Amino acid sequence: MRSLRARLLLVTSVLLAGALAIVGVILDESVRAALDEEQRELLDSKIIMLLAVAEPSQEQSLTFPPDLPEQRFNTPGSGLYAKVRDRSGAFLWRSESALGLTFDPDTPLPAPGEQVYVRQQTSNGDTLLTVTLGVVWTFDDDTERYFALSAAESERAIIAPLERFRGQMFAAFALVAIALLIGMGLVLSWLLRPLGQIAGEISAVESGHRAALSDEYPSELSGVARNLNALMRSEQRRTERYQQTLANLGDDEAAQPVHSQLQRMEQIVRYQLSRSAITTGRTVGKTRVPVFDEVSQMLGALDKVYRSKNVRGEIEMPADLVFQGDKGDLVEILGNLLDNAYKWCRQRVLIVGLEDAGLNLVIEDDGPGVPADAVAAALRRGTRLDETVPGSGIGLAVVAELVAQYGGKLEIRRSDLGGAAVHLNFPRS
Amino acid sequence: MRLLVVEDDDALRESLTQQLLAEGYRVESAADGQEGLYFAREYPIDLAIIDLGLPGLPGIDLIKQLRGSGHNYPVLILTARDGWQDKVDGLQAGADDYVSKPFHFPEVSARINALLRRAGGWGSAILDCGEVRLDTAAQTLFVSDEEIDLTSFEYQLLEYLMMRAGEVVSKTELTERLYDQDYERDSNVIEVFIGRLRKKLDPDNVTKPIETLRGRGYRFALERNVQE
Repeated sequence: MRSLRARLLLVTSVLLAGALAIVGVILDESVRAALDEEQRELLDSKIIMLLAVAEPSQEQSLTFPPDLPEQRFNTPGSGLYAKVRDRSGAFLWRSESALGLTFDPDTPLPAPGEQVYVRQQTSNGDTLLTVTLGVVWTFDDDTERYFALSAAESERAIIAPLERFRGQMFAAFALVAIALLIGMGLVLSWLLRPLGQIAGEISAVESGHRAALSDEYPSELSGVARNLNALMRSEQRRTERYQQTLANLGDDEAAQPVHSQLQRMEQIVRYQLSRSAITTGRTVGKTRVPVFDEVSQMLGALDKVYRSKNVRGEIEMPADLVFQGDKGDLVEILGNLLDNAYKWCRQRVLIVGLEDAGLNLVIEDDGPGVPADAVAAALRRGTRLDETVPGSGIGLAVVAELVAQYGGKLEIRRSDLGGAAVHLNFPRS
Repeated sequence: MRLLVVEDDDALRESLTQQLLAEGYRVESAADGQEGLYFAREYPIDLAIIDLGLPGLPGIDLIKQLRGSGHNYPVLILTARDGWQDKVDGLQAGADDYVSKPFHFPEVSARINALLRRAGGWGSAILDCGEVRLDTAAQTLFVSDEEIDLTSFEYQLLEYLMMRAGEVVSKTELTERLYDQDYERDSNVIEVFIGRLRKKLDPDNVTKPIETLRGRGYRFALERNVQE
C-alpha cells in the first residue's frame, strides 16, 4: 500500500461495506415484520368477512355461499384458504381453494372470543400462516354451538414482495457505494493535487526550468514549500561561494596542490573510461597499426612544436612493423614519450623498433637522462622530476598503465646518446 | 597584439580572455567555429587560440580553412591532456603548438609569447637590437644595460615594432593591433607615442632606433643582434 489514495479507498470501501450490511439487515428485518403484520391484518379481515357471509343451517351448523366475495377462496391452490371446525375438531366446511389439503397436526382450537396465529405445514409442502377465531353461535332456537373459523395464507405471498424489496435495496446500495467511491476518488485527487504540483515544481527546479517553488499552496503544504525554497537558496549560495573560492584561487601558488589533484582525478576518470573502451574493443578484434607511420607523423608534429630547438629525430625500424591494438593507445604512448624526449633532449631523439618476442620500441634522447634512483618516482603519477619545466607529471604514469594493459613492459635505462632510453615490450598474444 | 580566442566553454573562454587582456593583449573571442572563422578572416589577428572540440565547425577544419585562405599567423590549439591524436591532427592541419587542458595560464602565456616571437623571427624571449634589449617575459626594457620605465601602451607599441624589427609597420596596422576596436582611432596618438619612445630609447637623438617612412609607416631600424 504505497499510495495514499489506495489506502484511503481501501479503508473507505471496508467501512462502507460494513455500514451498508448493517443497514441492510435492519431494513430487511423491519420490512419482513411489516409484511408479516400486513398478512395478519389481511387474514383478520378475511375471518370477519367469513363471519359476515356465514348462514346458520337447519342442522345447527354454518353454511357459506358457494361463491365467496374473495375469489381466491374459490380457486384451488390460490394460497388463501378457509375452514370451519366444531368443538371436536371435525371439519364442518372448507373453502374451495383448500380442497384436498390436509393439515397435520391441525391448528389448536382457541377459547371462544380468542384468536391464535400459527404457522403450519401443508401436505403439499407449503408453509401457511393460519389465524383461528373461536366463536359461539346462538341459533334461532337459543341453542349455542362452538365453531373455530380459520383463514390461512401461504408464506409465498409475503416472500415475493420481500425478495423484490431486497433486490431494490441491493441495487440502491450498490449505486450509493459506487457514487461514494467515485466521489471519494475525486475529492482525493483534489486534495492530493498540491502534492503532485510540488513534485512537478521540484523536478522543474532540478532541471533548471524554475528557480524556486511557487507560494500558492494550501496552508498544510506552504510550510514545506517555504522550507524547500530556503534549503535551495542556501545550497545555491554555498555553490556560489565554492565557485568564488575556486575562482579566487586561480593560478596562485596556493592553488597548485588543488590543481594537480584535480588533474589527477580527471586523468583517473579518463583512464578508466578509456580502459573500458579498450576491453570492449578487444572483443571485436585487434587492429594492426603500422608503427612507422605513427612515429613519423608524431615526429612531424613535434618538430613543429619544438621548431626553435632544431631537434634531429631519427627512426630506425622496419616499415612493416605493426602494433596490435588500439591506434589511439599507440598514439597516446608515442605522444607522451616522444614529447618527453623532445622536451629533454639537446639535439637528438632516436626511435628504434624491432620484432623480437613481440614488438619492441626504444625511445632515446641525448638529454640529462633519468637518474637510476628516480626511475620509480618518474613512473608515479603527479611526480615531476624537474619542477622548473612545465608538465603535469602524469604522462609517464599514463604510458606505464597503457603498456600494462597490453601485458607489456616499460623500463627506463640510460641511452648511448647520453640521455634516457625508454624500452617498451609488447608480447604477441 | 590582437589575439583571437575560439573556445566553446564559456567559463574557460571568459577567464582566458580576461587574463590575456590583463597581459596587455587585445582580444577577440568566439564561442563556436563559424564565428571563430569569421573573426579569423575579417579581423587583424596576430595569433589564434583554438579549442579543437568546437560546435558548428570543428577546430581542425577551422584551422584548415584559415590556412587555406592564406592567413599565416601562429595558431595555438587547446586539447585534452590525453588527446595525442588530436594534437597530431591539429599540428598537421596547420597549428603551431598545443596546450593540454586543464592548463595553468602562465603556461599558455609563455607559449603565446614564444609563438609571437617565432613569427617575428626571434628565438628567445629577449628581443635584442643594438643597445636596446626588450625582455618580453618580464616586460622590461634595457638601453645600454640601463633599465627604462615604460607605460603599458609604450611597451605594447615597442614590442610590436621590435618583434617585426627591420620591417615596415603601417600606422593602420599599429592602431588596429594596439587599440580596442571600439576605441577612437586617431593616428596622431601613435605619432605622440612614437615621439615619446624615441626620447626614452635615444634621448640624445644619436642611434635613431625608430625610422619614419613617409606615407608607409614606421620601422625599427636597429640591427638584430645574432643570438649565441
